[in-house]
Order: sequence, then structure tokens, then C-alpha cells
Amino acid sequence: MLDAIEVTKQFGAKRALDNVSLSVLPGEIYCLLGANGAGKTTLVNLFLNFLQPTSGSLQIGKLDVVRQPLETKRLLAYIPEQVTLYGVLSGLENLAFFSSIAIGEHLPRQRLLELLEAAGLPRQAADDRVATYSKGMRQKVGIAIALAKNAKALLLDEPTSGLDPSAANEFSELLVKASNDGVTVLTTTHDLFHAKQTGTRIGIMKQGRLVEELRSEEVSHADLEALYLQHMKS
Amino acid sequence: MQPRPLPTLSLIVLHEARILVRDRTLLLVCCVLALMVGYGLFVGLAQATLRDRMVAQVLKHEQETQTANSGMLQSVLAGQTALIPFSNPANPAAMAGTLSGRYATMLNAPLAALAIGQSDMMPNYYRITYLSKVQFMYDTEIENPWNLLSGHFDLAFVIVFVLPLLVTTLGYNLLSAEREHGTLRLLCSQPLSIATLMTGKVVVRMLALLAIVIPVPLVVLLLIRPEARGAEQLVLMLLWSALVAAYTLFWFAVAALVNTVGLSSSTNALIMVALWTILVLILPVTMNLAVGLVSPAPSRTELANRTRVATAESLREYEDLYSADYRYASDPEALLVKNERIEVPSRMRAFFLAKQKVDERIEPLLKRFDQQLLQQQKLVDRLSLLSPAILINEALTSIAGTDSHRFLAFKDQTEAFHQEWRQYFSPRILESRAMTIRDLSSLPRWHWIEMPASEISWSIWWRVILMLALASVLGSLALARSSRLSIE
Ligand SMILES: Nc1ncnc2c1ncn2[C@@H]1O[C@H](COP(=O)(O)OP(=O)(O)OP(=O)(O)O)[C@@H](O)[C@H]1O
Ligand SMILES: [Mg+2]
Repeated sequence: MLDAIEVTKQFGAKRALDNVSLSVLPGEIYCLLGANGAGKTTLVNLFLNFLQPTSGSLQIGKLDVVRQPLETKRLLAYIPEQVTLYGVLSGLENLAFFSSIAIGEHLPRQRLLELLEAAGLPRQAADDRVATYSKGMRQKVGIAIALAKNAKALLLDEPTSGLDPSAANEFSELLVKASNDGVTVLTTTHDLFHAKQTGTRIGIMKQGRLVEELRSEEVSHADLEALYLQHMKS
Repeated sequence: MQPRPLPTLSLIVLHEARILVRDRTLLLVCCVLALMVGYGLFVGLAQATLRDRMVAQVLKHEQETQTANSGMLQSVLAGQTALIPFSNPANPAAMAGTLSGRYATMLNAPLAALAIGQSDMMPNYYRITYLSKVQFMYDTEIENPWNLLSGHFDLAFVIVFVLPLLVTTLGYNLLSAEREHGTLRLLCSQPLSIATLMTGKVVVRMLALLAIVIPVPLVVLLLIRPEARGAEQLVLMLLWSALVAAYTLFWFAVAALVNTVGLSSSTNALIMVALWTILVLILPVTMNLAVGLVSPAPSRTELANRTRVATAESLREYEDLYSADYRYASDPEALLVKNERIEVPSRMRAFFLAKQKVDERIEPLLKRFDQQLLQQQKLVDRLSLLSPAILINEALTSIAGTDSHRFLAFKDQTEAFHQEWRQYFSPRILESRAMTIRDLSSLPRWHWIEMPASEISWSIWWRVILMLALASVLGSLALARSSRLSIE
């Protein structure tokens, strides 16, 4: 469903991605690990066509990301590390706007409230201006926007950053539920524990290269941590 | 793939409208624009009214003089009035001069209030006498049409100068704000192209500005200037609206293009202000200088000197007539009308002939003078393609009928009328024929012939088209560039 084929991305002299090939199947939750600057966000940006690859190609559901940007984005929901919304609008209005763009129709208020609730936003905050929200509350609106889209693939860049532990857990449950419904998930994270818990597959990146891929049921949490640190040292 | 029932563009437009209303920027900008449009229109209306009054006054004076003259003539013919040659309406030389109170006048065009243009520099009436035309026609300066900063805060000024700044205020951060704020990432993760996003943003902003700048002046004009209600005027109003819309679109296209470079909002603002300065201030001044160099303005000093020489020569030619004695001083009988004849004092005849001679002598120089002005005008017309500000200013004044073309036409017609005036009197003066009552009512009459509407609208049409073309080229460039924008 999500395929990166021999992707290289060069920023001037800096090679952010070096011949990365990666494939996420429907129903999988693929967790991308790696140190700061390893190239995780760059890979996500390439899938979103925010950046174009220097060489190689990316596909979503067999559609080329660069050649059919709008079509691929219909299949995709994205939650950035920092969800930024329109501060002058309420959480509900933000959700209403983004979901209307995403699916081409206005969802009824009741449905919007359900989505916000599913994302974990307190009901009484829904009509407050987003400017008054905490980071975690905005993140939850971002999750609701992604849910509204009912997308076939989820692209998540450290989606739980700013979420409190219980909210992060609830989010992991949402992911598992989505993957059970056949949704493809690619998420970057620094949280080895969650990666092992929720991920079906784990990739480790280092300096723009994908250095390790493993199934999470194959490793224990301790093994994963050891493996990760070993890669980081060498 | 299921069909998309709601066009993304309309969603963006509604969303933008809501954001702009909530954060009050739009309201503020629209208030500023409304105030300026109102004031600019007021200034234009005041000027138009003033000039209407001037013409009305002149025509009233003409009417009064005519009545007075025929009364006087009757009493002269009845032998009831003591005679002074210079104010004797029976004397054709006196009638040819200031006694007749004849004027050539040009009325305001119906949409004059839309732009002051040259109307405060150029006369809208000339007093017609047998005097040399140098004396009454060449004492005004034709401003270069793109002396845009002529110091009027009229509607044209608001459109040419202020509107681009307001567009800048609304458009400098069209994309950069979303990028800096961070919302661009979430937006662009949706099936939404940046081209659609930018278009939607421009549509809302443009509609808001145009909703003030176009209908307000037109409605006011239609309400208080009945002459603006004709079909021809309606076409001009449509052209005017198209022109203003095209110019606004041009500046939004510039803003969009600047935004696709991917720089910060403050840098964008700086670039926009720099572009405004170049296109609206510097380019016109530079081009003004260039025209001065390529086609220098005719020298007024030379004209004055040559006129002096020609006058002196002509006076010398009729020297003997001048030196004739003032016979009527000792013999008032000589001034009476006898058998429809009157003795025109030789001094007056000499004056008439001398002035005619001056014009004959000076004619080649005047031809050259006008030719040069015409050439300058042509150059101006051609160069106006280089600056959108000049382009629109030319078109706005031409719609208002306050452009130099119309004033030059007035000047030409006045010259012809002046000629006719002299030709009418010449045989009467030379043959000493007294003016009759019937003559007084059949003096040459002035008729202003309006410039052909087709010519005007053509010159406006191509400017509208050019402006639209310019705007669309820039706009398409911006849209094309937007698809290759990387989103950080
Ligand atoms: N626009 C850019 N211009 C130049 N270099 C860039 C750009 N974007 C990213 N890079 C570089 O590419 C490399 C990968 O960055 P990336 O953001 O993908 O890392 P990351 O794995 O997401 O890190 P983090 O864990 O901190 O989020 C870094 O060295 C970064 O400096
Ligand atoms: Mg990152």
C-alpha cells in the first residue's frame, strides 16, 4: 500500500535519504525508529509530495505520489508532529473545514462531535477557539481530522508527541483498531516501547539509510532496545 | 473513486472569508478603501461641478453679451447712442474682437468625476476673438499624461496608487502565513492543490475589494449625474469595471507569484513594496525622462520669441494704417452707419490684419509645435505598455474624458472655429460693411464635436485586454510554480 522504491533525497550536499526501499502492506503498522536527523520526517514528507525525491519513486496504492498528488492524498491521512490549526476557529470548526476538504462534503455537527470524542477531546472544549488549546488538545483535533477522512493509509510523524500517557495509549488502541480494519499505518516514533507494543513491523533508520527491518513479534522489548542502541553506536 | 460533490475551491473561498472576517484584517482594509474611494469620488465630483459651473458662467456671459449687443445695435442704428468705435456693435472690427463675447466651450464628459486627469491643467473654454491664437491657446502647458503624482486625491489616484497597496496588505502573506503558522502542512496533506488554495484566497480578497471600489462610484454617479445614464456610458462603466478588476487581479497575481518563491512573509512584504515603488513610482518618472530625451518638449521660449518677431514684422507691414489719424475724434459723423456701411477705423483694421498675419507667419512653427506634442503623445501611448500604472491611468482618464487626447481635440476644434471666425469678419472689415441685426444672430456658432465613441472605447478596450493578459500571464506563472513548491 505504501511503497518507497530506491528513494534518495539530497538537500544540497546533504543526503537525507540514501536509496531507501520500504513497503507497508494493508493492515500493517510500520514503526520507523531512528536518531534525530536520521531521515524519518523526510521520508514521510516524500510520501506526502511535500518534497520530491532526487531519485527513486514513491507509491500509495500503486499510484505515483509525484505524478498523481491529489489522488494519492485522497487515500491518505496525515498527523504531523505538531498539529497546527486555525487559532481563530474552534476545534469543531477546524475539524469541519479540514474534513470537508478531505472528503468533499460537510459532516453533520453530531458526527464531528463523535469524531472529536473518539480522538479524546473533552466535549466542552469542542467550541472553544483553538488558540486556547494545549498542544495535546490540538493533536487530538489532528487525530479527529485523520479519522474523519476514513483513509486507507495513515502517515504519522511522531503523532503522540505532546499527548499525556493515557491519551497516547488510547491513540495506540485507535491505531490497532484501524489496522484491524485493514488500514495501512506508517508512523515514526522515538518510543521503542510503543513501537514494540503497537507496531507489527519496525524499521530502524540511520543517516538516511534503512539499516534494520524486523517483525515486532520476533523480538522482545529488551532485544529491540539492544539492537537499536547497537545500530546507533556503530 | 466517488465524485466530489463540493468543489474544493468553494470550500476554500468560504473558509478564507470566515478567517478574514474573524481576524478583522479584511474589515479594516475594506474600511480604509471605502473611505478613500468616497473621498476620491468627492474630489472628482467637486472638480466636475466646478468646471460645469465655469462653462455655464461663460455661456451665460455669452448670452448676456449677445442680448446687450443687439440692444445696443438697435439703438445705434436708430441714432440714439453716442458712438465709441471700440464698443460699437455695428463695427465689424469691434465685433470680431472682445465685444462679441464668443466662447469655445467643452462640456465635461459624463463620467468626468471618475478621474481628474488633465482637467485642472487644460482649459475647458477659450474666448474667441480675432487675436492671434498664440495669445489665447498656447499659454497652457500640456502635462505629460503620466505625471501621475499631480497631487490630486481623486478616484483614479486611489485606484492606481492605493489599491495595489491594499492588495499588498491582503496578499503579501497569501501562502507564507499558512507556511509560517504551520497550517500549510495539514492543508497540503488533503487532496487540495496549492493552485486551488491560492486561487480561493485571491478570489475572496479580490471580491471584497472590488465590491467596494467598483459599485460605490458607479452607483453614486448614476444617482447624482443624470448624464451618466446613457447606453454609451453604461458600456464605458463596464469597461471601467473590467479595467479596475484587471488591475486588481494583476497585483494579486504579483502577490501570488512572490509567494511561490517560498520566502518569509516579511520578505514578501518588502518585495511587494519594492515592486510597487518601481512599477508605480520609478518607472513612470524614468519613462517621463526618457520621453523628454527621445522627443523633447517643444520650446515655449522659442515660440514666444518667434511670436514677438512675427508681431513686430506684421505691425511694420501695416505701419501706414496705424499712423492714420483719429478722424472720428473730430468728426463723429464718420462713425455712423450709412447704407449699411461703416467706416472701420484704420487702426482697428490694421490690428485685425496684423493679428491675422502673425498667425500666418507663426503657423509653420505651431505646426511643428503640435507635431512634437503629438509625437510625444504617441510615444507615451506606446510606452504605456511598459507600466501597468500608466496603462491604467491612461485608460481611466480616457473613460472620464479628462485625458490629453480629448483636450487636444478641443484645441484643434477651437483653432478651426477661430479660423472660421476671422473668415467671417475679414470681408466685412475690409469692405467696411456694418453689422446688421440679422448678422448678430448669424455669427459663427461654436459646436463641440465629441470624439467618436468607437475610437475612445477601442483605446480603452485594448488596454483592458492588455491588463487582463498581463494579469493572467503572471497568475498562470504563479499557479504553475505553486505545483513545484516544496512544503517544509
Ligand atoms: N529542507 C531541508 N534542507 C536541508 N536539509 C534538510 C532539510 N530537511 C531535512 N534536512 C536534513 O535531512 C536530515 C533528515 O532530517 P529529518 O527531519 O528527516 O530527520 P528525522 O529523522 O525526522 O529527525 P527527528 O527525529 O529529529 O525528527 C537531517 O540531517 C536534516 O538536517
Ligand atoms: Mg522528524
